[in-house]
Amino acid sequence: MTGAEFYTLLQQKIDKAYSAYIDTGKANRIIEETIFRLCDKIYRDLDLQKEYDELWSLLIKDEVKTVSTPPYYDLIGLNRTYMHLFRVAFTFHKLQTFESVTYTGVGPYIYVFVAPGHVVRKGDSLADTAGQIGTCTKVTRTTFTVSTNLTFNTGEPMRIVIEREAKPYVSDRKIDKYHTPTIYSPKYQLQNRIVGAGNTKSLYLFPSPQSIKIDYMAQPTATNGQIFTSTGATQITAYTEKFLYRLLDECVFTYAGQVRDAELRTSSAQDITINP
Amino acid sequence: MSTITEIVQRIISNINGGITTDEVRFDDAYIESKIHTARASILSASYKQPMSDRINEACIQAYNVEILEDDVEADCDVVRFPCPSVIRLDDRHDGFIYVGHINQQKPYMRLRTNFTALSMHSIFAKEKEVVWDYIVDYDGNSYINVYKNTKLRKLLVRAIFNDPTKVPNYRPDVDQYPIDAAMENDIVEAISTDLMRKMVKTPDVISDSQDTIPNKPQ
Repeated sequence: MTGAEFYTLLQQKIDKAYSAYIDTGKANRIIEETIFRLCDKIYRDLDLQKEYDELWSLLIKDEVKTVSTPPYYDLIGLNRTYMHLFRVAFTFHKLQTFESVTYTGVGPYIYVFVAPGHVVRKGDSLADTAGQIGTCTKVTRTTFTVSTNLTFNTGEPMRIVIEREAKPYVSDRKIDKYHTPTIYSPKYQLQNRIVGAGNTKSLYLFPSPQSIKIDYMAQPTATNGQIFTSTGATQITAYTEKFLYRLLDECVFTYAGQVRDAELRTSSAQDITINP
Repeated sequence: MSTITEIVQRIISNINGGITTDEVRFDDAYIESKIHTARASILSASYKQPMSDRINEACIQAYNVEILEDDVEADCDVVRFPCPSVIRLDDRHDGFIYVGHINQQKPYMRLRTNFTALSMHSIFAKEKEVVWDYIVDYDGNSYINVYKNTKLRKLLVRAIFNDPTKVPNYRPDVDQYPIDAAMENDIVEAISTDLMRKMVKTPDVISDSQDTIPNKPQ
């Protein structure tokens, strides 16, 4: 379906007496308002595969972002415009303060701990000073072997990469000692980062991670083709046909409210109930 | 066996109808603290049973500890090694299994607790071997004090600790929690039942100085 076809169907669903009122400018405003409401409505019931399929273009999963300004990450930096949060995972580069290493050879890349009592395990991802990552393939009480040639200078720290799922940090519960964030139980809070008169929607992260992996619902936007216009001649690919037919009913419902047409409002509401 | 994270997830799944989300009202650290104390209770209860004086090997942890020269008090006859708090099995036995040389073959003798000053003096005067004692020091932390060898810098400790995650080389995200399968089941079921009972009361999450129960529109 194209935007122009959507516009034609919308006119047909509305009583002919009003159809002249629906010019393309008015239709575009109704489409934009109703897409926002419908997406939010489906988001609230996001449970069945059907609903996930309908919102597929707005569901952003496993987007990885480096946290360059800890302890916060400005959500404006995401690939799509943020609307609702599903999940955040933190990736820490946990510093091993007393486990500085000495480089001993080339392939296999064996490094020596200079102090006992390390917590490195086989399979761990390890990061060198430059942030290059390697996998630990063997570990003993005094040495560890890495899959790639990491660069450590004697005395430099080594970091273990740890990924943990984060939970919300709730204001009313901050008094609880058990609610305190730790590296193994990290927390986030959505916060207005106020700078002067400026407001920035930010995710504050406790403790500050190296990077985050985030699942979120994106806002429908015109730039990504998720909000189409009634004059659009190209195929709408961001939504399924099922979603668009439902959107038509919702548009009629929105329109009926604006023109105070009780009968049309009731019948469109019935259409929505019958074809959810 | 399971990590502490997996045991927490089992308990949350039990009380959440089989799924784990971030909507659970209990914090991980709260459930973890209940796991530690439930483990200690089970261990203590089983040890006190008649004819049951064997320690469950699954509960024992070991760690090497090395102290740096900077941390040794000068001209002091005691070398002090940090040690997480150790479990108490009954009124006469605690959870130490081995404290000694790192080759695991040379346990050091322990000073018995509650010695009189005269008995202590006698031991220090006559005993030639290394002896040690477990104390809670003035800073509130627990230590192993080693006597009769001021040059000692490395120690191997095997013990049952109150909080296994406090042992220096323990990784909560990958290391097995020191219990066996039967104990895990007992702990999970006991805590799940306890939390279910607590969930009967709706939490007051509105900060209005009253016992208000949320009444949000559906």
